[in-house]
Amino acid sequence: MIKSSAINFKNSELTTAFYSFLVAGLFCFLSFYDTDADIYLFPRIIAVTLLVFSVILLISSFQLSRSYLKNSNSNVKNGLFLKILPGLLIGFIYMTLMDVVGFYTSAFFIFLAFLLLYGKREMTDPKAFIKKVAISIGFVFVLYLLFWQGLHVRTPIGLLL
Amino acid sequence: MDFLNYFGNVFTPYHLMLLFGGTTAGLILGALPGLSPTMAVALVIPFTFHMEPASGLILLGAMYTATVAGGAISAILVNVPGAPANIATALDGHQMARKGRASEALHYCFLSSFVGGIFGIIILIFFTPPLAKLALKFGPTELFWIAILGITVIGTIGNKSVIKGLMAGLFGLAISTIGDNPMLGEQRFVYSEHMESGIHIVVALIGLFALPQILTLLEESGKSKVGIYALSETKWITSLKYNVTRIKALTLGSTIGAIVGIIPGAGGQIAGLVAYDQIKNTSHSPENFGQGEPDGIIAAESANNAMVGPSLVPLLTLSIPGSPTAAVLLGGLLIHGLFPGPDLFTVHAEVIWTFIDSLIVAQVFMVVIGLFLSRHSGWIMKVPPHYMAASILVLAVFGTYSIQSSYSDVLLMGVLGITMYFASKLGFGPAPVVLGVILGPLAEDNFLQGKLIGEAGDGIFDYFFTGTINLTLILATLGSIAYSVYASHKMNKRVMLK
Repeated sequence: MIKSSAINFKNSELTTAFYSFLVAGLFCFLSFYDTDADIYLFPRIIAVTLLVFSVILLISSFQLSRSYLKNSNSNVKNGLFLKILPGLLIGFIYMTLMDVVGFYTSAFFIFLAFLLLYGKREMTDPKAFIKKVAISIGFVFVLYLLFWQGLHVRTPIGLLL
Repeated sequence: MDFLNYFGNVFTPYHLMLLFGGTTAGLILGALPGLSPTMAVALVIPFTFHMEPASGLILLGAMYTATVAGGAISAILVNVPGAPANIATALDGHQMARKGRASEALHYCFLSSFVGGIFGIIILIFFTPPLAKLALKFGPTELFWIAILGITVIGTIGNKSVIKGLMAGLFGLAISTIGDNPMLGEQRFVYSEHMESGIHIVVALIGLFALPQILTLLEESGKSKVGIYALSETKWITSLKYNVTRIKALTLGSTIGAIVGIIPGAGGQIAGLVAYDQIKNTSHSPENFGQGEPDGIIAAESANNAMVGPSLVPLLTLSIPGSPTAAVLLGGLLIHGLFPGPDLFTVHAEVIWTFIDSLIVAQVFMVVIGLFLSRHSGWIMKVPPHYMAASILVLAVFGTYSIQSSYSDVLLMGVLGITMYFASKLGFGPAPVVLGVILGPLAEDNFLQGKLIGEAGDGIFDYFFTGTINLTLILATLGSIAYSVYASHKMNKRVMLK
């Protein structure tokens, strides 16, 4: 168990170092390739520093001592992405819909979707469903009062509101 | 006594309403396990956008004060600190709750927070103006090094990995370069129409703090809830009588909190733990600690609230935040056109003193509302994580849109937030990234100005690396890195020995 946790940790540290190196490399490329030295001077300094740090991180992650690894736990847990995937999808749909159907309508559906998909599954219980719909309506109504009436923020109304 | 001149400004009905709303919301948000004070303050910033600067800062200050104290509610009732600052409170607070003394523990928490908070604000009032005068001596190079020092301190202290903390700060600086070059006006890294005007500070604040929090809450949804211990009917006046006799715990906690607060980047977590450790070590009965000893709560809570005021001293004078939440407050200052330094106490004296005075009144609101909530706080713990996640998502979207009425901002917030969530899984914290975004323009502007002045004079190297203030700031930057490397090495060694 400890051994597999240590391997996971080392893998996650190597993955981190590798991704950091890729991002730093990409930033370096974007700062230097076909760009004006005066305009990109500050980003270039940041990019090079970032690249140096990512190389240090890469080297140090190779050198993690065995005893240190034994006492470390990986922060990335199995099954994590499956749990947040519906949330990410809802968020993506929200971002896409809000401009089309309106901010408030999409907020209602997205809020309700969260309540239905996460927590206790009570799809067959009409009372629980009505309660969740009522909470969603209440929340969006408070939002409407706060932003539209209070702060006078005119969000795109889209097809509905 | 400048602070007395503007005290009356706090007592307008509108400001009192903001203080009441900010304190109540702060206490509730702080009490919700998993919601950090930093995220709560970041989420409120868009609301302040439409307010007068003083009013906006009053709301943010009230939220900051209250979230730190509110975190103790969940620490005591369910043994889950609402914020890192309340870790030490949970040690004895939860033990008291298990013994049926939850109300008493909550009373000690709010009363001690009040004492510590007021002490911290007194430090803020008397230390800030003289330190701000020092900032008058700062030219472009000094301001450049100040920005670098701020990012380094937040990036290194308190982070498990020094190199990841520094890299996070650099990522923030990189994000800040998207958009126009400050000197030449040419656009950089603009690959889509959504990025044309760069990334607004508040978009970054909400994206980097709120979205990762939503995804973390979703991870936790469905987990079984921890049992909440019943709230007893202890009268607050009884607790007050006991609390005022604990002078040693209050003094020790408040003093340690104020000292830790003034150290850039240290934060309430360290203040609470150090105060707890000291009161335990100096107690006649240290064996009672961890078993429900009120002094443990009193020292920890007075310390973490005493940290709030002093954490604003380096922020308001030198733009170096004393804690991650103070870093978010810096964003709040900048969007209202208030730049830390001596001007803040001359040109914007009315705004800044009204804000500081409001912190005193916020402490009074905090203790009154807190004592009231301590009788009814059980329901706060029952809010399911997915309800919080849904509310934060919708508020984050509306808040982001309301800044510039821009759909592009909402998209950028989403992209930044999801990236930060995965980055945080790899060990990169959001606070250094945010500070990089906030201080990036300051660093770049002054770097380019310093370069021009240096080229026209004795050379760039001479201009940037000579002068007492420059050298002090460079040494402080290197010192903070060296200390963090040493502390991290020591911690690793301890882990290996175990």
